[in-house]
Amino acid sequence: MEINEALKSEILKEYLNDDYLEKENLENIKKVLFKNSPKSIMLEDFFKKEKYYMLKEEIRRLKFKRKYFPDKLSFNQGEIGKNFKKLIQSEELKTVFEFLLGKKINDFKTNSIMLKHKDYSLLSDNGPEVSGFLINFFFNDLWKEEYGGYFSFVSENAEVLRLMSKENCVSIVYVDKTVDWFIKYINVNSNKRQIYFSKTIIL
Amino acid sequence: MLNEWISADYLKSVNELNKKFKNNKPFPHLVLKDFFIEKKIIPVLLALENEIFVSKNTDLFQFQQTENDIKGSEITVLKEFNDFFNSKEFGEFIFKITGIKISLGKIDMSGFVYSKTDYLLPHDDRLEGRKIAYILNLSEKFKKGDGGKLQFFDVKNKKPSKIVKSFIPSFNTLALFEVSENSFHQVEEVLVNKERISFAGWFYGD
Repeated sequence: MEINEALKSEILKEYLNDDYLEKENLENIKKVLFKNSPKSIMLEDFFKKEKYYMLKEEIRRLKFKRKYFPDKLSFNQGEIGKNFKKLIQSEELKTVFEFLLGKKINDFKTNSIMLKHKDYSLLSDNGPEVSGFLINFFFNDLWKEEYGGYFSFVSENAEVLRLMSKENCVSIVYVDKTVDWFIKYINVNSNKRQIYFSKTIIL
Repeated sequence: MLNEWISADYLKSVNELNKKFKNNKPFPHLVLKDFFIEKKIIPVLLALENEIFVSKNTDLFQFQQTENDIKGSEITVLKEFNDFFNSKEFGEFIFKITGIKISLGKIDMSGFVYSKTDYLLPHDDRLEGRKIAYILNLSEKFKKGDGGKLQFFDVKNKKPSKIVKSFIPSFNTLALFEVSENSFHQVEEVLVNKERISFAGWFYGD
């Protein structure tokens, strides 16, 4: 599918904020993504408001199962919702991401993740399991750095990028053997707040 | 020298402590309440406040640690405490109660302060030469729901699975455990506005 065709499609017009339906804007985003070190960008206000709230409601209704491997991670994982699945598996959205990343995408392998007080992930001694673009769609409420829960990207023992989960944002970061990442332990200040996001890795 | 520092009861029960250390689960350990003689340890606690602390913040932990090892302290009381911990007599006592051969005069010692939201996530402490880990707690007034507990995990298929023992921080309590592939432990997040103060480090082997 051509990018111009994708940007004119009903499904993208329905879901994506108008800014992301302009090819010129996407070209600029691509430039910034590849210029940043590590390769990264935060796409703010990604979805149209009403669609964002629908997807947010959907992810919050999913069933999450706790994953707890004490020396590695603690979080809650679920399937993806019906509406989000339809969008993320559409040829149209795939075309947009292929355009941004400059590569063919075979498949979006996506799952939903919920983080709350006491959740975390640790760096692995062996580095990240896979190399590729880590794409997170965030559906949480207001979140503050003082709660923990931020995404820290590390290269040679130094933090090179810190991403905060933000409402209606999509983060794209390239991770490989030189850039690993962890989720900072979520502390008691988070109270009962939760972070919801859909995590995809494009190899 | 030992009786100047350590509570008399412990000096009398070396064999019993050794049995307990070996048999304690999920890995060999001892938790010894009122370990030091109070009049010796209180000045050490007070002196620690004068050390310089720095923030430590990684994926695994968040706390304040003394900038330098206590052995380099310029505060006399702290230096004396470190000298005692590092002495031949104390090293031999630790050998007797643990049965683990350690190199005399070879320890690390730092001071730690965990404030609200600080923590140390699960890990096994293994690093070259570390034989016995110790934590001397000096904070008072911690209750069950305040967090800051030292917690031990049981191990299944060489991986930590669940917390099986928790120790609420209590003043003048010395915890010792053998460093091994099974010694997974953590310090639970401090959940309230209290400070968890401790000295901790390792006894090393050859």
